[in-house]
Amino acid sequence: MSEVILKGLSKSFGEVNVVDNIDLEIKDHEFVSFLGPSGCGKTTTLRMIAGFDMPTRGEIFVGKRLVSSVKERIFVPPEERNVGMVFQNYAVWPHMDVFKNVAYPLKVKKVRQAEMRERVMRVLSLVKLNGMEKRYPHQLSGGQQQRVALARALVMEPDVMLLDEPLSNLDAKLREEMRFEIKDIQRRIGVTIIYVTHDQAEAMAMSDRILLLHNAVVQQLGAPHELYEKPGNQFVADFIGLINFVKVRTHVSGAGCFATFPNSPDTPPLEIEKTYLLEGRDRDQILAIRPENIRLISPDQSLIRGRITKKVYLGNTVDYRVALGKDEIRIEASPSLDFDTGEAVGMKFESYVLFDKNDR
Amino acid sequence: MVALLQKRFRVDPIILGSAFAIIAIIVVFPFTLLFLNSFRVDGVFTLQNYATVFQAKRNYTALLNSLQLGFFTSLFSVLLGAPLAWLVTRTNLPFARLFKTLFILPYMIPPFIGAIAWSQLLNRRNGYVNRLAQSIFGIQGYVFNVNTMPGLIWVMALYLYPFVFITVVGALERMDPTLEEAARTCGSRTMKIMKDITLPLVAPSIAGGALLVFASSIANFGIPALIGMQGRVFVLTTMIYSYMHSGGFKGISMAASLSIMLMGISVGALLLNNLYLKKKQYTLISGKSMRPKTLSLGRWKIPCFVLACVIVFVTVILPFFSIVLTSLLDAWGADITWENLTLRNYKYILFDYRLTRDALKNSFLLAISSATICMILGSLIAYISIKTKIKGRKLLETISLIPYTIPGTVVAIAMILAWSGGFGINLYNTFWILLVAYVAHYLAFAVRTTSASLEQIHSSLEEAARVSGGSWTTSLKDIVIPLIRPGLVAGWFLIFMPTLRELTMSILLWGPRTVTIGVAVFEMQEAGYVQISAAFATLLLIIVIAGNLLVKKLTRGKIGI
Repeated sequence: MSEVILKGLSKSFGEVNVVDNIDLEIKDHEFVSFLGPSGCGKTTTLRMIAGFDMPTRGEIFVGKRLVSSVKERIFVPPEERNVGMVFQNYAVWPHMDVFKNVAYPLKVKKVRQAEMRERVMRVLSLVKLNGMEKRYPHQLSGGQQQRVALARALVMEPDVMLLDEPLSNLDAKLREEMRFEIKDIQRRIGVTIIYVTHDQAEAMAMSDRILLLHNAVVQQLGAPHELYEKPGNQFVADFIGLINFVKVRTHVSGAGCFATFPNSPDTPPLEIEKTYLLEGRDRDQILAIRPENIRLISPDQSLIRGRITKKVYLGNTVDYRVALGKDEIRIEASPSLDFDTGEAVGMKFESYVLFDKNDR
Repeated sequence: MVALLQKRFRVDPIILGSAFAIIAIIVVFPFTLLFLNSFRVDGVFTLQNYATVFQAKRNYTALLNSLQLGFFTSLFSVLLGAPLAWLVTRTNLPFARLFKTLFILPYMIPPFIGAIAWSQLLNRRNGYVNRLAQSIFGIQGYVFNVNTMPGLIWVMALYLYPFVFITVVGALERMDPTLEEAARTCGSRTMKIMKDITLPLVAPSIAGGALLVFASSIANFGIPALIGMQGRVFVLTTMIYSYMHSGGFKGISMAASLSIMLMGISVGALLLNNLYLKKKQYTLISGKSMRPKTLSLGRWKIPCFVLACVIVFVTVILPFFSIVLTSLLDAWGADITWENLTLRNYKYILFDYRLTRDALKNSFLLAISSATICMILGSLIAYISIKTKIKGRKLLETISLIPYTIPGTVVAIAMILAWSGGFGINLYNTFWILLVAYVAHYLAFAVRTTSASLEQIHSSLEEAARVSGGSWTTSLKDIVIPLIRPGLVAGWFLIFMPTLRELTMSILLWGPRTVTIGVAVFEMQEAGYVQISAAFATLLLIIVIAGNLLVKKLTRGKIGI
C-alpha cells in the first residue's frame, strides 16, 4: 500500500537541471537510499516527494495516491501527503518539550488526549526516550534530539518516512549506533523509508536498494552488493569503495579475448572473459579492479609483474602501491604476506570490470 | 513556496500582497509626491522652486546654520564621546560600569526636554546659572545666553554624543586584543600602541558615530525650535516649520523644496556611513569577546574620576534637577524659597488642564496603535523578505527601512501633501495622519527586530510543522510566532517609547483635537507656562525611565538603556 512511485521526475532552475528524469518504484516496507555527492539532486528529489519543492516535470505517487503531477496540475501540499520527515538539523522545536514536539502531528490532527498520550509514549519508548518527555531540546544531546525528530515523524504513522542526511551531524560512534537503530525500528514497524546520504558506508549498511545520483542523473539503481560488485559505470565504481582504473586495449583473436596494457608494454596480454567485450575489436577500455581483488604472488608465478613502491601497515590489512609500467595500482593484502618496498611482485587479477573509455 | 501557496491557500497571497499595497500607499506614494512636487510649478517640471528657495536669504542662512550645527555638534560629540568610551572600556577608572550606563543616559532623555532644561539653566534673563553667577560674583546682566548658535551646539552635543560613545565602546569591546598584544611583542609601549594600533582601528567607528550625530542633529526639531527660534537662529527644520505655520500655498511649496534639501543632506550622511564606513568597521574588528587588559591610569586616576563625575553632573543631574525644581515653583523667576515651592502644577496638569489630559490620552493611544500596526506590518515584511521567494521582496524591505533615515519633518510634509484632500482622502488635522506618519517613520524598527529574530529560525523548523500536517497558517501560529515572540515584544517597546514622546512630526501634523505630549510641552513652553511645562516634562521623564526599566527587564537587558 505505502509505495512511492516517481515517473519522469525532473526539476530545473532555468537552464540548469537539478533533477533529470528520475523513474523509480519503491515497494512497501522497502529501505531505499538516495546516494551521491553534494549537488547531485538527491535532497531536491526528497523535497519534491515531501512537497517542499515543485517538480518541473513528472509525477509522484505516495501510497497509490497521485500527490504531484505537472501535467494534471496537481500539487498536494506537504501537510496533506502523510509523509514523515527527519531533517538534517533535526528541526526540533526549541520552545516545546519532547512530549509536545512528538505530539504535535497528532495535535494538528485533533487526536483525542488519551490516544495521543498512548501513541506518543509508544514511539518514545521505540526510540528509547522514555522518561524524557518533560525535557526541552537544549537539555538534550545531539543524538537525543535526533531521536525526538525520528519519533515525531514516526508518531503520525506516515505512508513513507523521508530522512535527509539525518546522521551527518552526529559523531562517528553515535552515527554507527543510530544506523542500526533506524534499521531496527524500520524492521519492527515495517515503514517505508527513503534515506538521503552522501556517505556510501551508511547507504550500504542500511539500504535494500540504493539510487546513485550524479549531476542530476541516475547512475545506477540496485542492491548494495550489485553496486559494489557490478558497478554500471566508472562513476559508480569510483564513488563506492576503492578501485583502480587501468587503461587497457582489448581485442579478440582466435585464441580468445585479450587485453593489453598500453602503459606497461612489457606486460603480456591478459586473457579476459568474452562477456566484457564490447562490439568491435581493438578498443580502448578501462579495467576497473578493487584493491582486495588483486592477489600478490611471487613474481615467477605471474605474467603481470610490478614493483612495490609504497607500503602502509593498517592493522587488519596492508596497503601496497605497485608500479605497473606507468600506472600505480593500489592493493590490499593480508598482513601475513610480507613484501618489502622495492621488491618485485606478481599479481593475480581475480575479479574486475571493464568500462568503455568514455563511459564516465 | 509561492507557487505552492497560490495553488492551495487563496488567503495567503492576499495577506502577503497586502504588505506590498500598504507600503505603496504609506511610503512610496507620499515621498514620490513630495519629490515631484518640489520640481513642479503650475504642472510644469522645473527647478524654479529651488531657485526661489535660495532667493530668500533666510533660507540660505538656515541651510548654512544646519550644516554648521551638524558639523560642530559632531565635532564636540567625538571630542566628548570617544575619550569617554576609552576611559570606561580600557582603563581602571573607578565605577567604570556605572559610568558606562550614566554616559548613555542623555540618549534616553527626549531632546526637547533637554532643551527646556538648558533654557531654564542658561536663559539670558533668569537662567539659574546666570542668576547664581549674579549672586556670587555680583555680575550685572548675563554670563551665558543659550539662545545662540553656540548654545544650540552645546545642548545638541550633550544629547547626541552618546551615539559616538556607544559605537566606540562597541568597537573597543569587540576589538581583538591580540592585535594590541602583537604590537606589544614588537616592542611598542602603551601610548604608542594607542596611537599606532587602537586609534586607527576604531577610527571608522568614530567616524560612523560622528555621521550619525550629524544626520540626527540636522534632523532634530525640538532643540533648535525651543532654543534657536527665540534667538532668531533658524535651521532647516525650524524654517520648514515656520513656513508651514505661516500657511498658504507658497509656504507649502517652499517647505517642500527645503524638505528635499534637508532629506538629501541627512540621507547622504547615513548612506556614506552604511556604504563606506560600516564595511570597514566589520573587516577590522573580530567578534571575539575577550577582555583586553585594562590600562592603569596611575596618578591620573582621581582627576579622570572627577572629570567623569562632572560630565555626569552637567549632562544628567543638572538638567534633571532644573526641570524638577522648575516644576515645583509657584512663580517662575522669583527667588527659590520654601514658600515658593508647590505641587500645584502637577495637580493642574493631571486633573484640571484639558490640553495635558488630552495629550496624555492621544499620545498613549497613538503610541500603542502605531507600535502594534508597525509590528504586524513589519513582521509581515520581514517574513516575506526572509522566508519566501516572492519577487521584489528585498525591494519591499529596503523601501520599508527608508522612512526612518528621512528626517521626521520631511516625513510630515510628505504626509500633508498626500493626505490633505488633494487625492480624495483628507486626513489633515486628524488622528489618522499622525498614525500614518508614525507608522511610516518607525516601521524600520519593527522590520529590523523581526528579521533579526526570523533569521535565527531555520526553514526546516517550519517545514517540520508542514510535514506534521500543519498548514502554513498553523505553522505560523504554532512555530514561527512563538519563536520570535521576544523580538516582537522588544520591537513593540522600541516603537512605543519614541512615539509616546514624538515632537518633530507631531508639531506639523497635530490639530485642535489631536494634541500630543510632545506638542503640549512645546506649546506650553512657547507660551511661557514654564512651570507647568516643566511639570509635564517631569511626568514624561518618569514615564520614559519606567518604560526603559520595563523593556530592560522584559528583554533581560538586551534592549534599553
